[in-house]
Amino acid sequence: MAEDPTPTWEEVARNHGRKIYNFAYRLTGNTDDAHDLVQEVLLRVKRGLESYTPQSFDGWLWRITRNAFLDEVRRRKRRPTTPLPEDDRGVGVPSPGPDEVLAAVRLSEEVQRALLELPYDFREAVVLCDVVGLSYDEIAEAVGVPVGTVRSRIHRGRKVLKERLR
Amino acid sequence: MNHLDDLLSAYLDGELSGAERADADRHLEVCEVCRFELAVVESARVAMRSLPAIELPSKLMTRASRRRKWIPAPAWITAGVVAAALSFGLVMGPGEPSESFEMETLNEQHIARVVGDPGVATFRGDAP
Repeated sequence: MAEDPTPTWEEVARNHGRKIYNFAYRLTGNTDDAHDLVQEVLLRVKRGLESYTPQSFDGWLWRITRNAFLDEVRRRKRRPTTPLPEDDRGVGVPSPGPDEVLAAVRLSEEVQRALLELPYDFREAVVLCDVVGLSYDEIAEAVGVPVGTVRSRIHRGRKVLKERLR
Repeated sequence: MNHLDDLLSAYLDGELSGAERADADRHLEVCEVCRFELAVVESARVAMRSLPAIELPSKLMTRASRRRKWIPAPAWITAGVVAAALSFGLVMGPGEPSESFEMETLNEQHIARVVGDPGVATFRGDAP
């Protein structure tokens, strides 16, 4: 693994906050949980940076994120919900017509619903790959499984997702 | 014939070596089953990657950046604040005060109290 220089906490918050938020939202379908996770991860990063030794930064960060997420899930055991609040919908999309907006929202809700039905291991691998944009090596490092397992989880996750979307 | 199975997603994601990719290309030319499965996983991949990116709520980042603005005061100020707090009967329990300490909120409350103080209003000539 390549060694990355140690970033500052501000850089982590600025450059990775949104990705962490999207990761959590796509895994839970719940903005409150996503909100709490970002705060928790940033706190852990703040503490962790004090003893950080140069390594693959993404692997380190996503290990922290994943552990924080799993800790939260264990602690709260809250049922996920699907709807996205109005003010969070379609942010960053250049203003299309109302029909297009409606179709896009409907599609993304369907995908989100199908995603939440996947077994956790598949969902996590697919989200880390397709939403966060990590490579298979980085996912393997973050999750702590061999690359072959990552490959299998992503592939099977996508197949099940497609079945649920029919 | 061995089908490509898991290799198909890796193929789409550019995660195969040159030799593996060449083998996969050759296999796909002759295997309808794998071409169909490739289309299935590609469709799911496109759907996932089409999900809108959700912006981080601005209040979340404001709160996070507020936390880092807090700088410990010099010892003599700290001692004064502690003495004043004790004189008002405030007692702080154990924990991690620096992570949740909202200095700005306390400042705002303090200013509101001072501005509303009749003694201060008299001093400033604002008293009725």
